[in-house]
Amino acid sequence: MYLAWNEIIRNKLKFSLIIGIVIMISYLLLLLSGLANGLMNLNKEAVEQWEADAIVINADANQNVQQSMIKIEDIKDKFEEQANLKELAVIISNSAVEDNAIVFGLDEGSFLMPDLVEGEMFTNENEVVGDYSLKESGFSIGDTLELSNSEETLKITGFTESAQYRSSSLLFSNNETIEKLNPMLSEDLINALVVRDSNWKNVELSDDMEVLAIDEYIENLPGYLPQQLTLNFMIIFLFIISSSVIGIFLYVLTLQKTSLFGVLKAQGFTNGYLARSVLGQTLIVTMIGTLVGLALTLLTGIFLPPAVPIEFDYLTMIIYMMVLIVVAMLGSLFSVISVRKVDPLKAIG
Amino acid sequence: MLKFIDVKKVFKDGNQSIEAVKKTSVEFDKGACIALIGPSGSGKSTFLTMAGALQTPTEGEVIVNGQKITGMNSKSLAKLRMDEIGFILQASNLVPFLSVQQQFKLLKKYNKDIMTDDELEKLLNNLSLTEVKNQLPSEISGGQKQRVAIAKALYTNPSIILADEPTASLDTENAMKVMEILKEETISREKTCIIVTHDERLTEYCDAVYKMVDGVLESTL
Repeated sequence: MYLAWNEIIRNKLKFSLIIGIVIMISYLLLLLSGLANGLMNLNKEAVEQWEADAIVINADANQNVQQSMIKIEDIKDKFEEQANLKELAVIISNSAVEDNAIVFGLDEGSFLMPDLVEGEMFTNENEVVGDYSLKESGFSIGDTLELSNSEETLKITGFTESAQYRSSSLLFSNNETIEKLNPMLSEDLINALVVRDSNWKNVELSDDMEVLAIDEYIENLPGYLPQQLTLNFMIIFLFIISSSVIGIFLYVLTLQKTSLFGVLKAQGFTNGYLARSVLGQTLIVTMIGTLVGLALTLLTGIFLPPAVPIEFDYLTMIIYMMVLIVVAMLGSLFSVISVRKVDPLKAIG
Repeated sequence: MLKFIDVKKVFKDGNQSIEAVKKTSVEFDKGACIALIGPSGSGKSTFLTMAGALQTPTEGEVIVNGQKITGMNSKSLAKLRMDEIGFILQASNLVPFLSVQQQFKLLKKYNKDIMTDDELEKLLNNLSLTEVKNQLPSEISGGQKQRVAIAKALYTNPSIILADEPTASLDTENAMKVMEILKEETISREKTCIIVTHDERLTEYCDAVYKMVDGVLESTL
């Protein structure tokens, strides 16, 4: 490490350029991971808050909750814990702001209801509680919401923690309210049943219903998987490209030092010591680069407009940083191989 | 102590075989300072690099302090070079991004059997290097670089010093000073010192002079 560190200190410009490349790569990688996470959350945030094991929907609904209709009497008391779900996509407006939203009709005390963080719970018909993303979009408590597909109006009485679903904000209401908005969702019909029961696979249901594990349901949300795969592929390719770029840079640096390594070998420094020096240098360069990249990413996150769905998962970011360091170390193995091949006799002339 | 037993080195050049060092048996004792002279291409450097465990003989045995080095693996050879051999090379063997003092720190981190700090100070003082301790190799003269290389070779307390034209880039005064130091180190610490040189003045400091001509080593004194 002594050799590696002192070379960096004495060649600040050269190593600044390499560190700069690592910063840019890690910055792009961490921003992408934040965007991927944010985009995924737009779809599944509310579903994850349910902490559910499975969801029951109509077998003919092509795994689309809004197209599904289930009779309450067919699934009554079937699972350890279960919650009825009625949902309706709407376009809401408070005259200043317009937004896509999904209304959930819930039973009182339903575990599908997130924690209230501001205002009061709905008590009467046509009262709703919005998720926090609506407040960030410009809606307030007391707002009267007009709906594009109904003559009814809704009044916001409070906000829950952020809970987005299928890239839309959520409005929570009682069953009576949603039934007024969509008369199809009568007292004895629901769209889906959300289940908390580890034994859900063993519960028998009629043939016209299917039960999906909650992870499978999330994956089948419209657009979720293609988005996730696209971003994940970008991240994987970025890893491969970054390891190659860093590896090539370090290889060129190593080639420039062939005669020095030869002289050091002639003096008795082992291949192992020199290889550790090369790897140590890679570690220092990538650690500095990724840490600065992390700082830049977090700083960018502060200044990005709320419309950009960026959300940082710190554990994922740390894992990505570690993977970046490891792939860079793998890239520098080419340099290690070239160090092994240096003939001290040739190097000293 | 350095011993060559029937050592021969043959290089292949296409279909041709070139005998760089012909069958040689020679022994250099502890405390002996040996000059090795001869024309260019006579095999001096090949002899020196075999003595320094940088290449193996085609035939015969090289023995360093009673240890056969022929057949050792590269890691053991590297350890032997670090512990027992002190190279003073024509080309500068300094690390370009380390100051003079850091060159010694690097060796100190790698090798435990080294001179004490006081001994190093004395050596640097004798070689007039104290004032350039914090300079980089690129900031000092060729003569100073050569003297740093000599100090590096002595710093690890090697039992054998192999010097290839050690005074080539030094003025007469510094060249003589270097030879005095090498001679003193050889006697006081019972080292074996082999100096390849074209400078006949240096032979005055040596106990024996060997001449290499067309791969044949002959004693001249």
